[in-house]
Amino acid sequence: MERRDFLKATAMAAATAAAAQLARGRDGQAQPAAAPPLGEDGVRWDKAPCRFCGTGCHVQVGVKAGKVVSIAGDQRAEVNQGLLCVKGYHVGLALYGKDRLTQPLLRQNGKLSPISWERALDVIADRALADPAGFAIYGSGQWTIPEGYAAQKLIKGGLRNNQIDPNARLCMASAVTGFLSTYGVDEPAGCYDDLDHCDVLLMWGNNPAEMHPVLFSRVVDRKLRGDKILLVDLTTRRTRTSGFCDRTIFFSPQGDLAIANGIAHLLLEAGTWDREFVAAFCNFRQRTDPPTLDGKAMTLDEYRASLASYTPERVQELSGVAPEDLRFLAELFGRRELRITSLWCMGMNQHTRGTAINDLVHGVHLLSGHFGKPGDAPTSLTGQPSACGTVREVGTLAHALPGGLVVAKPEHRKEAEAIWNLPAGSINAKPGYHTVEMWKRFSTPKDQGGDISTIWVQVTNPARSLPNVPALFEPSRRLDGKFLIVSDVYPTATALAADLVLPSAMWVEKNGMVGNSERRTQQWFKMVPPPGQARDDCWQTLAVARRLFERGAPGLKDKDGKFLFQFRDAKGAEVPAWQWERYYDVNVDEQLFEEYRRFSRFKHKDLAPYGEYVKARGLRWPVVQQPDGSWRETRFRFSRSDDPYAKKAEVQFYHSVTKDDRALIWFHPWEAPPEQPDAEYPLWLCTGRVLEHWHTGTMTMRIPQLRRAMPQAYCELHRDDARALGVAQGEVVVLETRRGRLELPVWIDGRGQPARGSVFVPFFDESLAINLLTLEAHDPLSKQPDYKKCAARIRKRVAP
Amino acid sequence: MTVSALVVTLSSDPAVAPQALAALAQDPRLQLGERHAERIPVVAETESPAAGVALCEHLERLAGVLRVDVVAIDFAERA
Repeated sequence: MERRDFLKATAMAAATAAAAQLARGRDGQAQPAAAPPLGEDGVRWDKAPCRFCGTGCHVQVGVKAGKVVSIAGDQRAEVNQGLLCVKGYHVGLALYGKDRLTQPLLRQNGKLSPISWERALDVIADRALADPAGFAIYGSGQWTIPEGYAAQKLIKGGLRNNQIDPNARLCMASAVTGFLSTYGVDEPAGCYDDLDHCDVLLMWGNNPAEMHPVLFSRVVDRKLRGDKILLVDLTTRRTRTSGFCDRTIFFSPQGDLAIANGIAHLLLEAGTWDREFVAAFCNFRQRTDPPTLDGKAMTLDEYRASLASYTPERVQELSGVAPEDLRFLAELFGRRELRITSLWCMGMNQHTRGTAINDLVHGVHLLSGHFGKPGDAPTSLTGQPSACGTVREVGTLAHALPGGLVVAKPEHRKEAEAIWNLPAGSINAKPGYHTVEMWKRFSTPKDQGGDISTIWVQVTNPARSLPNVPALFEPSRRLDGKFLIVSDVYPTATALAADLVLPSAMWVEKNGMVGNSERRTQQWFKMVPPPGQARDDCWQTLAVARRLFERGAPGLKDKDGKFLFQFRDAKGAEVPAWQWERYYDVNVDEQLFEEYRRFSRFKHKDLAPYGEYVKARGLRWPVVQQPDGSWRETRFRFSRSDDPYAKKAEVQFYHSVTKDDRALIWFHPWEAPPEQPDAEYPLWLCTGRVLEHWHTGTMTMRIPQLRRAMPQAYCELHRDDARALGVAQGEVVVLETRRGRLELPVWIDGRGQPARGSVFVPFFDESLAINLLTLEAHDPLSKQPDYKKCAARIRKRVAP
Repeated sequence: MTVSALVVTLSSDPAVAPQALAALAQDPRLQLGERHAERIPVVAETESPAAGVALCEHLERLAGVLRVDVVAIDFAERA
C-alpha cells in the first residue's frame, strides 16, 4: 500500500470513530484505545495536551525523524474526545516558525549579539546579586507546573523577596478572588461534565464558540441531537456564540453587576429562592472599606434591603436590559427542577469590579440552590493552558505559596519552610508586587520609587499583553539601571526590547505538566529536540539558581547548607541537573512535581503521584487513593455524592471563610467604571481574542494557515456609527484613547457586531497593538485590570 | 499533499441536507465514509494545509452543512 493510501485509510478510521462518537452523544467518557489516527511507518505517536488555551484538549502527536509531522485529536481524552479546533490541529506547526530563537543574545552597544549560555547565566546572577530585592520574575499560565514551581521556589525560598507574578494576573485573578471570598478556596466546584448535564447554559460575557470552541461544541452537539438545552448569551456584543443561542440579552458595559443584583432581588421578591439550601449552607456578606475577602456579616433582611433598589426598571437604567429579560433570567433561577450552568471567562474577570461580579454570580447560584448537582454550578474558564495548574495551584502569584497557601500567614510559611527544608523564618511575610505594580515600578526611576531593577520574563509577552503599554512597559526601556531578561521561543515584541534574550524549548520539545480549567492535571514527555541552543525554561531557572548558590547567595542553601534544588537518580546519587548535558539524566519534572505534591494536601487539592498522570489523559483534583490502591479523581467538589472530603452533609464547603462549612452570598452594589465615554471620547472600547489566534499571536501568527485566515487586527464598528462617522468597510481609521492611538481597518458586520457606541479590537496582532490604548485601572482585590471597557474615539485618517 | 480527517455535521432539515450530501459526494478532494445520523466521516486530500483550511471554510458555507470538525491533520511535508 502506498503512503498516501495508508494515510487515507487511517484518516477514515479516525474520522469514522469520531463521527460515531458524536452521533452517540458525548457523555464525558473517553473512547477505548484506538489505532494511531494517521498511521505511517516510522511515525511515533504520543499524547500531549494542546499548547494553547485553558480547555486542555489532548492531542496525539506524530513524530518522525525528530519532527512533529501529524496532529490528531485524542479519542481517549475525556475533554475533547477526538476533536480539535483550528488552533489545536495546527499546534505542531507552532514549533516551526522560521525565526525561532536559537542562541542567547545580549544587548551590547544597542544591538542584540550572540553570547554563550555560560555568559548569560553570569549576567543574570550579576543582576540578582547586585540588587536581590529588586530582582523579579514575571511568568504566565503557560509555564508548565514544574517550571512555575522552580521559579516560585527560587524567588520565595531562595531570593526571598516574593517578587514573582504571572500574566495570569491579567486574565483570571478575579475568578480566584471570587472563589476565595465565596467558598474560602480557589477553583471551580464543577467541571466540563456540567455541560453534558445542564438544562440551561448561561454565558456571562463569554464567547466560547471562538475562545473555547471544543467545549462549546459539546452543547451544540446536544442541541443537534435534540436534547432540550437552553443557551442564553448575556453579552455586550453579538458574537459567534450569539448565533447558536436561543436567547441573546445585550447589556451595557459594567451592567453585569446590576443584572446579577436584579436577579437576586426578583428571587427574593417572588419567594423563589431556595430557603432550605441557604439556611443549611450559606451566610450573607457585605464589603468593607477597604475591601477584603472576608467582608462583614449581614443578615438576610439586610441583604434583602440592600437589593431593594435593584428593581427591573433600575436594572434597565444601569444595564440596558429590558425588564422582561431580567424576569426571564430570574424565573429560570427560580425553577428548582432545572439544572443551570453559568460560564464565564475574561468578560467577568477583566473588570475593575471583577471580584464583585464573580461573587454576585456565585451568589445567584447559591441563593437559588443551583449548586452541587451535575450541570448545576457556576464555572469559570481560563484562557491559558496552565493558569490553574501553575498559577493558581503552584501559586506563582506575589502573595501566594504552593497549594493555596499565602506568605502572609505564619503557619503557611512554616509549612513551606518545612517542605523546602529552610531555616524557620526564611520566607518573607510581605507579598511582592502584583503585575501592574511590578511593571509600574520597573518603569519608574529608582529614586522615584522604582525599586524593581530587573525583570526576568518567561513564557509571555508583556510588551503586548500589559494594559497601557506606554506607561507600564515602554519607560523601562529608556531608564538607566533597568534590565529586562526574556526567555522565549520567538523574537516577540518583548524579546526585541530586552537586554538579554534566552532561547527556550517549547511544548513537546520538553517534558511538561499543566492544569486546565476543570482542575485537570495533565502530563507529557519530550518528543523532539529543541532547535539550536534553545533550552527548557525550567533548566534555565535551575541553572541560574545554581550559579547564585555557587557565588554564595545565602538564600540558595537549605538549612543543611545544601543547594535548594536536589535531584537524585534511582540509586540515590545526586544528579547535577543544572548542567544542561545532565538535565535529562533524571526526570526533573517528576522530582519537582513529587515535592510540590506535598503542598497539595493543605487545601484538599490532592494530586496523585506523577506516574498516574503518565497513564491518564489528566486527572481532576482532589485525586484520592482508594483502599485498593487506585487513584480516584473528583468531578464535583463539595458534593457528598462525589467529593471524598464532603462528608458531613449533602453539600459541605469545607474551606468556608466563616469556618462553618457555609459559602458566602455577597452583596456588592453597582458602581460606575473608572473611565466612561464622554464628549471627548464618546465610544466604549472592548478588546479580546479571535478563534484563529492565541493571545498576542506570537505562535499562531507564525502558522501560515492561521495567519492567512486572520492576518491582522481590525476595529469592529456598528454600522450606524460607521455611517455617522462617514467611514466605509475596510477604511483605515484612527482609534484613540487618552493613552495612545492606533490606525486600524474598520470591519462592519464582521465576525462580531458591537453595540452602537462601542468598538471591539482583538489583541493578537503585535504590529497593531491595542494595549497601547487600554487602561491599567484594576480591581481592588484581584488587582486584575479591565481590558473590556475604556473610553475611545475614532476619526478619519488624514491622507499623508 | 495534506491528508485531513474530518467530521461533517449535516442539518437535520430534509430540505437542505440532501443537497449538501450531494455536494460533498461530488467534490473530488473528498472521500466520504459511512454516515452516522447527521455525521459523515470525511477524508480530505489537499495540496497544502492552507488549502485544507480553505476547504473546511468552503464546506462550512455549504447550505445544509452545520459544522465541520477536524479530527486529524498530517503535515509531514511541511514540518
